[in-house]
Amino acid sequence: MSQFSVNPVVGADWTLFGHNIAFTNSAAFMLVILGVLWVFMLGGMKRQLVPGRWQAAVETMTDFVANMIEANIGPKGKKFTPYVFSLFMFILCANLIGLFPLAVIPGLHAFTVTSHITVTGVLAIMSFSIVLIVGFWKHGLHFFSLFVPHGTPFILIPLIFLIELVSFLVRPFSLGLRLFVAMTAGHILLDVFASFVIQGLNSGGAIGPVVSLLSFVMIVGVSALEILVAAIQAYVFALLTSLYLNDAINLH
Amino acid sequence: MPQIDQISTIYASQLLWLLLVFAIIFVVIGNWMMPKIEGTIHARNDKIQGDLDAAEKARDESASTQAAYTAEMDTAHRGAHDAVQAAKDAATRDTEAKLKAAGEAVAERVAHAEVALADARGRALAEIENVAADAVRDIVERLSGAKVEEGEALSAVRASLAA
Repeated sequence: MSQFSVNPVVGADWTLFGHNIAFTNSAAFMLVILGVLWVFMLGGMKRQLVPGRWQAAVETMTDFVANMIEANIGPKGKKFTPYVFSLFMFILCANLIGLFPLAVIPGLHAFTVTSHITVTGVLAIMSFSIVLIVGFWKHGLHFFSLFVPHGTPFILIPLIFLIELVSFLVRPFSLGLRLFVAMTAGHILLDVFASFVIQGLNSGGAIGPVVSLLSFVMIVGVSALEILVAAIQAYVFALLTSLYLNDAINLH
Repeated sequence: MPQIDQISTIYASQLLWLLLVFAIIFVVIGNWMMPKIEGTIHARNDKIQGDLDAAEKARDESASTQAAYTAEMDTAHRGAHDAVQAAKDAATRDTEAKLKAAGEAVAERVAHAEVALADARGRALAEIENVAADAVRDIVERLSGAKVEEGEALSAVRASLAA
């Protein structure tokens, strides 16, 4: 579990309005994500008519998000593309960097920013706030009609309203928790199999190396799965954000 | 689980650095770099669409040129055929006229010749009658010594020739 602990790198006693704002390993990895993203995007800024591999890769990502917004929200959602793209790329990059085998360099250890509820929660609240602001800005109190689907029988309106309201309010939690849990669970799974490898080798029994080998094979498989999960979770976060934005912009 | 155990000590640091980094990503990457990359994609798509349109236009143009060429060739062929036909007809007509004229001339000359022949025959016959009449008078005079009148001899010769 130590892979999830946040430790100050510098400025352990920095404070702002009485709160500790130390530059931690988590903050350091956020900067790494920023740097990697910036370098990646820089490859797409060559703006050639016939793109090279790198430029094509960057354009694939922007096209992917732009198409997602276009499909889920429509032309009105175009101004939210930068936000959803930033969100998607940040989460994808964080997930993948967290899987990077940095520990082969002594003294370093990969840290998954998105395995922290303090990060995913903030991202979720940010998305939810944008949905609320856009919804009330565009539709005023009419936004509440989102909670009463078309064709609801008159008698059922209070009940449906309540259910829809609860499901709406649960959104930020499900959004933030989903990413946090998926990342944490994946890393714990890898951790568990890794400890099996070590314990199998140390057990001294005849069955030990067999367990170690099987666990190692499992690590390979789970690592591949985790790369998939890293991409899927980033996609799910961005997709749900755009779906919620669609609710706010187009109601039902 | 450190994510939950540590919340009370790290929340401010996590929030601050996350907002800082995400704000930079949003402004620099989301709002500055991404629209430019999207612009490149749009420019490329527009260029491809424009090129396709131009190619299609060129193809249509070449098709219409081809059609015009074929039509013109057809007209030319037809014109040439007509000219040849007209020349053939004219030649035929000319030949026919010449043949007809020549035929008429020949017929006329034949008619003249026939007339002349008939004339000559008439004259020859008359000559023969005269000669015969003379001979008759001569013979009669020698045989009988009687003189036969010229008119009488002639009518007798005519009567015997006609028989």
